[in-house]
Amino acid sequence: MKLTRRTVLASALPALAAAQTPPTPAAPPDYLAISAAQYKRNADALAKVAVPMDTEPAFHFKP
Amino acid sequence: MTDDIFYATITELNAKLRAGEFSAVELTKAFAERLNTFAPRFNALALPLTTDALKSAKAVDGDLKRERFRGPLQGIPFGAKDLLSVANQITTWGAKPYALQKFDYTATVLTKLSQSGALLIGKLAMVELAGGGGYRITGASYFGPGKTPWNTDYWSGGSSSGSGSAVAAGLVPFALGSETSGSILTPAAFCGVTGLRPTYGLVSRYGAMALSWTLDKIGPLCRSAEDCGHVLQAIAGGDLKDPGSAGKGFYYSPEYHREWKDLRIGYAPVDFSDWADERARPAFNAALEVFRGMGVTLVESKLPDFPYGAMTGTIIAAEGASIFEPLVASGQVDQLADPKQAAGFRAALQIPAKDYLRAMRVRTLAQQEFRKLYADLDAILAPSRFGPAPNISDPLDARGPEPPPDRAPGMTALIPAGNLMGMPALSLPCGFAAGLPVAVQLCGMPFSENLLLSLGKEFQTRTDWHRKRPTLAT
Repeated sequence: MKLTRRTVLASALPALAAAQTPPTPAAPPDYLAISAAQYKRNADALAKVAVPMDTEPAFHFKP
Repeated sequence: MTDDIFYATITELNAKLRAGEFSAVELTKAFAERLNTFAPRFNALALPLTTDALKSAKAVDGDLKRERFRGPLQGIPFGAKDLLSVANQITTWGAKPYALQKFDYTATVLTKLSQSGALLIGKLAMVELAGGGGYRITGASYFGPGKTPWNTDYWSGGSSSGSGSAVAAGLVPFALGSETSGSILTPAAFCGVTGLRPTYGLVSRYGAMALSWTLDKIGPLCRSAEDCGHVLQAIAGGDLKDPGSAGKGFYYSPEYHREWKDLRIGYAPVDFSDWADERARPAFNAALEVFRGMGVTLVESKLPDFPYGAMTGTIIAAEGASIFEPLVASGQVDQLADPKQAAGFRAALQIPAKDYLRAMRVRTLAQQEFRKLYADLDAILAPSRFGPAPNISDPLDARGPEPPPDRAPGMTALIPAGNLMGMPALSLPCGFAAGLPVAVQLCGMPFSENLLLSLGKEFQTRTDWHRKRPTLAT
């Protein structure tokens, strides 16, 4: 096959275009999802503790 | 003045003032100049208050001349975490959205210290909003990452960052910090100073930023346990302006303690052999031996089995999100230095009431178990933090290698547990690891501060770690 300047350029274009495309920046961490997942893990851990029905929330700290 | 003055204890400084070796004005000028010169090196200073301090110092000198002695804090300069308001002065809470915030009233603790003759020379930097929302970088502060004076590549600890580094570097004789879960003990440990977290409700929080109504406490960071006692005596007491106030005062009386041989101190051997950073184990074990040498009975012990981290995580997140809901609603929360905190606040607004209340009810169960535990113990001894400070570039949420599954938890959850139970704790420097300070903590039942301070004072007569000074090249 005869190689012309046009065919060489056409075959190289995709590679050139790819080389000029800036790398996709890494997505920033989804801190909202990370935080929500942490709160869910906390709730799951607390759910494992058996709490008698007559237990009131703690508000006072006595010696 | 020689460098010795900058590392003297409150008692030593007060004796020199009363003896006329220097005036309160001279002492205040010297400390203020040192604070303003060196604090930027550690990102420790939020706001200098030299002019007002010098005015007050002049009045103190007048009192001293007339032999009107008001106690050990008279004429002693100090610094305060920038979450405490001073009327008509900027109070940033360490966060950009509040960079120009002013209140028209002064925090109760600062009024009390002023009445004792202590002189506020500056407000000290802190982690933004005391870490609310959950921070993951040391740079989570309007003032930049706090740096320990022992090596500025390493973190000072938080959230009372400036309070820890300013005391350690001899920029103030003492400072006030606050703790919701670890914010006094951590900078005390990483900076090599003595820190006291008082019992919940013993010290008024009026005029302090709230992060968690049921956990917040204000306390001193000092050069010694004895100094902590003097400061606590001045700042403790009931306050109708603080709904959490216990209505109790505190009289520092280190001379009245039980005989050491009658004291039982709980500890977990696994803390010292396995959980502690290898580099810090010799220091921690030596501290254990000092207590053994005092004649106290060391008792192998363990914390009641509860998910302490989940409890504090839920309670601080839910209460903090409610407090800072207006900040989230305004969108200004995105001005925080750490995006993780903004996201943490947003996500916490979705925590169901049932989860918060469950955490508070499990907290009641844990309190009951702690009372049983302390029926046989007078205090618990454990590392304050299990290793030295991390590098300032290290992420704070990095997880180390998973521990073996069969390793007992020891006292690794003592900071969240002690805070949840409203218990006091005293952090005592006990040596160095990799050139950085490490410390042990004593944690006692609510209102047992005199016992902890007596033990701390005795520990510090037998060791000199609290007397060590970092090198500040000029």
